[in-house]
Amino acid sequence: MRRKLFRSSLVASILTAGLVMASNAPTVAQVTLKILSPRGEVFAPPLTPISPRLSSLEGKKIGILNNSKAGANAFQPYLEEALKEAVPHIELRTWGIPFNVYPDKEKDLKALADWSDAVIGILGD
Amino acid sequence: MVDAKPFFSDSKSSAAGAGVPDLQIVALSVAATDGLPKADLERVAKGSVREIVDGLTKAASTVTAPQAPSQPKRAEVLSYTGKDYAEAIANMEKFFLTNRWGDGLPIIPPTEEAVEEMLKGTDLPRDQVVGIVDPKKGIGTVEKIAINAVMAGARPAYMPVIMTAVQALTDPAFDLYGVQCTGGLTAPLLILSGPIIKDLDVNFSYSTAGPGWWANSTIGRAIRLILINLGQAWPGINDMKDVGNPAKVGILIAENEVQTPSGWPSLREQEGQGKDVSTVSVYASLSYRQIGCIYGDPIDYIAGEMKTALNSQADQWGEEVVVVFSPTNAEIVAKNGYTPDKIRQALFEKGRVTRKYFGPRPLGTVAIAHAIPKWIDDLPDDGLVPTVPKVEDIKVFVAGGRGPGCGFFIDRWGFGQSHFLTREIKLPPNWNDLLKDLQGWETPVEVK
Repeated sequence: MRRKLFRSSLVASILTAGLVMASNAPTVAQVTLKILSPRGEVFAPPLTPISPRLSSLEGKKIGILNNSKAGANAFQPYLEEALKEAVPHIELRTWGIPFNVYPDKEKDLKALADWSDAVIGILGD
Repeated sequence: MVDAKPFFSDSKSSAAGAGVPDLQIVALSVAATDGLPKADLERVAKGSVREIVDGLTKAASTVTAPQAPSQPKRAEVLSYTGKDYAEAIANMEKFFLTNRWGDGLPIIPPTEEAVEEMLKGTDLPRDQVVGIVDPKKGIGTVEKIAINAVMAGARPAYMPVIMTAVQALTDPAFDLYGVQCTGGLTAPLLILSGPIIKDLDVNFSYSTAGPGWWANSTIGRAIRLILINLGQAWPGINDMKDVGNPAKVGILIAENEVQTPSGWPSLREQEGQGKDVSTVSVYASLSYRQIGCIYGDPIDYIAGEMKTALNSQADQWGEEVVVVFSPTNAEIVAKNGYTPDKIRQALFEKGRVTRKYFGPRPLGTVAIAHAIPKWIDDLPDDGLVPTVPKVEDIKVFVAGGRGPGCGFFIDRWGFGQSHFLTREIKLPPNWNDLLKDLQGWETPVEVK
């Protein structure tokens, strides 16, 4: 009985000492640096949804918008050939419309849109 | 839209920026088509046609919902913790690196206190929009410019230069979208002219284009950080320059009026500004070719560089070129009777290439895109084409120190429509107080 009491009080003492040591231990200091975000709010443009998809390209008029740089010019003939092989009775017509602003640009884009059932843009460099 | 594989993210980004995020884009399986053998072009075309047809006939897998239009807002406060200040800063640096918000160099933390101090450099309200920065159309408020200026280490007195440069860069005539996103190896160059050079202790002498002076380095760096954080262009995402350009770190050259030959007008006067004002010019520079006058007439040398720089590519035609004379070069040509006007005229005449060298016949859409007049396209093979559209497109000024006589011929990006622009720097009412703050931030400028 005396041994049990002794053991209980010993355990209690050890536990108490542990608690005291923990409460006196130095805490790790935390420094907080606050800054202002350098990122700009982005001016969100109005959204333009894409046109409804065609059920098929067969027999359709497909305008090709070529940005007229070397990479696009190199690829265009092969794309046209591949399209003609893949799609029966497809009609293709190409507009060379560079990125740069030039006086008739809007007119050329309108002509492309008016003629075409769908447009494929080739973006070369 | 059909694009080469490495440009897919660029195209998606551009489409979103133009308000068409659901544009169907097909990425070819190659990095480039120009120069590919015929068999490869056939293979690539056949390999992509199914996806192209599907893009036009099948419904898009995602449809983007409209967003409310953005308004300029006060900057968000961000917090970084650490066991000490050094660790907190390191955590900030790591965040910036991971999120592509910096330029790869240590950043001065833009605390509220530091930004308030920077805002003393202007009398404009913090939410005033200075410019919309391409390609992502970031709203460039005075506050956002000040935050990036703090990060760069700039002093408040530099704010008028930085804000004026942002105004010029965001002018549609500079084509910042093209400059930021092109695969061409261009970078904006800033050129200062006027009394502000002395006020701000900008180096205009030996190695004006190099490191060592607080104003030159931090103004240039501030502009680069603004282009990163407000324009949000990033290499390989929507900035497609293969190798980049050393000048992208941010380069500022200052005119050396102290050693400009007597009778030569300053750059700002040549640009139509008054002698008593200060200006900043912006230019989409490409390469920096050393010009000297050790052997023969420097004008002939520069004319040769102009011809080579055009690179037999008519689609580089239409933009300005820049000639920076060192004081030594300038002394020699001035003794031979040259003034900036006479230099321009001589270079316009001598810096011509043959029609055969200039480009294919006919020029086709290149002529349309670059407004090349019909008389040039119609020239015979041995007819001579000026390498710039008009005499005034050759910019001439003196910068640097009096060394052996090495200046720069700086040629243009050329594939877009980016123009050399000059803007007057307006000073705030507290200018003299701002200059007092610069005491101690000077480095001696060697003038010999």
